[in-house]
Amino acid sequence: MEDYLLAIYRLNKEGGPAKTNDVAERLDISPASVTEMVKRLSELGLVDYERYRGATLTRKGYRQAHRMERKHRLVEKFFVDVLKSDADSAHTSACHIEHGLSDEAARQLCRIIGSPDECDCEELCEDLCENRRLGGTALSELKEGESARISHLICDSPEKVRKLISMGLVPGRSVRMESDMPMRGPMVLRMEDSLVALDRDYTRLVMVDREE
Amino acid sequence: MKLSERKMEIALMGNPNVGKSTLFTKLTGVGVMISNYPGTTVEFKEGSFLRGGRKVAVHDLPGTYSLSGESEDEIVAIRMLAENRFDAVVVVVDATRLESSLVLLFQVIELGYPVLIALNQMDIAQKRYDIDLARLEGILGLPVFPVSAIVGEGVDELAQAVVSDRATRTGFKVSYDSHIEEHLESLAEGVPATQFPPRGAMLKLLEGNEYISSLYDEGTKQKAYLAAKEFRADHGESINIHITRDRYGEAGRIRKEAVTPRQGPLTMRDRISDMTMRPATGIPILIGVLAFIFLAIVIMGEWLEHELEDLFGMVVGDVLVDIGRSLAGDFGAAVGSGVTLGIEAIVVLIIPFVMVWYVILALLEDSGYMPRAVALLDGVMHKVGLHGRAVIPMLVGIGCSVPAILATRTAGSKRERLILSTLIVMAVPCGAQMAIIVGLVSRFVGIAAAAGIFVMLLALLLVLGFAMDRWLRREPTCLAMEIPDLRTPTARNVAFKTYSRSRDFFMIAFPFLLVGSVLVEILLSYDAMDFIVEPMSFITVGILGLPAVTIIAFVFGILRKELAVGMLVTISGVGAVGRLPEFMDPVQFVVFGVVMAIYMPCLAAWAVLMREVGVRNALLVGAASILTALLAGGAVNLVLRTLF
Repeated sequence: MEDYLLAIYRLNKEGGPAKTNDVAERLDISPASVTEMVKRLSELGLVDYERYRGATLTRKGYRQAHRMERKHRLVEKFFVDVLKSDADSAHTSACHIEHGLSDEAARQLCRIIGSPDECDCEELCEDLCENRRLGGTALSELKEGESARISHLICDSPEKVRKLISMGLVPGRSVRMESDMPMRGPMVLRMEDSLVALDRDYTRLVMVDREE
Repeated sequence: MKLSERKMEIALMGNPNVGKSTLFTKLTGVGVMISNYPGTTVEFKEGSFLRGGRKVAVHDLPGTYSLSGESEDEIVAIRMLAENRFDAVVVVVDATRLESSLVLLFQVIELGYPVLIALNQMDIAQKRYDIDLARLEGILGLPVFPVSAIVGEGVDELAQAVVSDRATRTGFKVSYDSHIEEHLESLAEGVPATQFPPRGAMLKLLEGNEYISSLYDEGTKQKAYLAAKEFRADHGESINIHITRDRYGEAGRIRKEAVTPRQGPLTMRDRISDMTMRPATGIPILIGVLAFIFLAIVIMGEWLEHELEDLFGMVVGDVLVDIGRSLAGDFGAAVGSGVTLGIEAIVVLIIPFVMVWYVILALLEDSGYMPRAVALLDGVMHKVGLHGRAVIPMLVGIGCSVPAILATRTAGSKRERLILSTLIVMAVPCGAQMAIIVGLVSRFVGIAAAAGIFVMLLALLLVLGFAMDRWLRREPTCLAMEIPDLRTPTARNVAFKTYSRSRDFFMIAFPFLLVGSVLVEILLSYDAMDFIVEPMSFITVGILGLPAVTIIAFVFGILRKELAVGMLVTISGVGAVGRLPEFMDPVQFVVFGVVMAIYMPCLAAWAVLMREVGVRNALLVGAASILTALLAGGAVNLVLRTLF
């Protein structure tokens, strides 16, 4: 059930309601059983389900999924940073462990592998700082020709985040790194049809998941 | 029909570089500067057209990506929207970049304006996509008009639709994340009525837009603030990010439904575009372009200079001298010859170099190459305290410092604007200065000498920039710029830009020239020149090793740089530009060129500088420029005299 929640969470993040077929494809399960499960989730008050439109997480569902996503990333990071496993096996392990990890254990883990004092933006983005500690890949780490999907933005200065949003760098969109300019110049990025030159001070604030 | 029905007010809105200004020109016939890079329009324009008995006032709002009210442009745009009750808003949508255009469109719709969509760049888009216009109209519930503003296609239909009140308030809604919708619903309940619909206004409040927030009472504002805060606590990300994410999600879905890309092989244009942006090929291309510009100005300019000199002698000759004599005897004749020389200097020096440069500048701007150069040079420019964007004002400054200083408005921080303006005034030669370097120094001394002066100016630029970067407190601003498609410039726009940019050299320089010539003749006839010439000779002769009378040229150069050459010809008494070598030797030409290129901005540039960076800074820049010019000129004189 938690896997369903997480799949809907991720599809929602990529923009809009999660269609049953998309959830089925992601989890490799027949659409019919997805529909049944989504109905159960909706009875539990975790998702809003509209026929033809798809499923959106309710606040309660969102919180639950969000916490799981964090646990997942935390375990992943632990496996990569501390146990030195490769990203793939870290992901697989995380998929199993995330369900059994208590909140208390997650917090402990976070204290061990994260460094809470690197953030100075206080209460304003407490949660984002947690995101930052949980790691991921920054857009600035991409190599020429690599594509990725934006997962979230790091709050550094609100002004920069606003600029990023207004240029269309929002979670869920795909970006392709076209070219890296010399002398620590900007990166040229392609998003759908548009081409954007963006300084490193911006690209390091954009966290992404690499794509094929 | 009542009069109130006859007059309309409409606004043009759209993303930067989407073609608003082009459309504006095509609609109203008012010529405005158009270039293929974002941020060309720094001040919004107003014009009107008449159609079907209705007068339509058109407001060209600055290009923005959103209406959140964060940047200067967005604040201006949202204030204009709020304060003018527009009868219609024409949202200019770039058909080749549907998504970011739609995101802005959603916000205009949410604020409840009747909207018409001008789907621009159709000529280019049709080569790449099949766009289902009916589908787009169906989804958005708005009339969509395909146009290509650059060639003028579809503009007529659009104008007709405007006067036929085709603009529509659509029922289309972006569906946001369910939590955002919950907040919207609870906020909109019982909110006092304003000119904006509650849902749209509450979205702006959640986004933290100050202008729209100010229309509401404390209670509502507080509720919105708390809602946004709660959202952040729940989601770990600000509500702005989520709102924009949902808008892009919606825009992406609409694009998928209405647009089918045509899979074709990479076009030649795509390949060239790609090459200009990969460092390995882009840097050689950039160097090639710069070398081409330099050679084109020198070779084309010198050829034109030669031709025009002959032509001028044939056409004008002694006509003005004769007129002057018949009006006021010998004095009149002297004024006449002064004016003739001044005009000759303008025609022979300014036209070839300034106009050739303006043609090149227009080509650079319209092709879309400029932003590519900006991206390539950004890294290097950081070393002198600027970012790559500074390239654009500097290139504009090779024509005239006045628009260049205005163009620094896009530079971001105050500090950057000050650095940039100083560099433009001191180290970037304007058209007239360019003409002196190329037309006098290169012609009479040699191309190597002219190149030497350019290298010197470049060195000055780097040193000055580096020094100012160290002295002034750092306010980091970094590059975030959209790169437009490459496009073939149209002859019409290039001609229009060249004409309107060089116009001032004639319209403003002329009266100055006339007054200046009369003044000099009066001074000469009373032997009053010595009052200035003698006391200042310790500088002209002593430090710079120039003829003492050159001080007159320097003084007039403060008024306008192009007057200096005319005055030089007049006071030298040689009678024509071509015979100046009888008056000065090669070293003196080089020194004269160096000093003219660096010292004191002309009056117009100085006035703009004062307005844009403040009186104190402008005075400092003026003083620094005189000092630097004297030091550089003196040093060049010393070195060259010892060498040759």
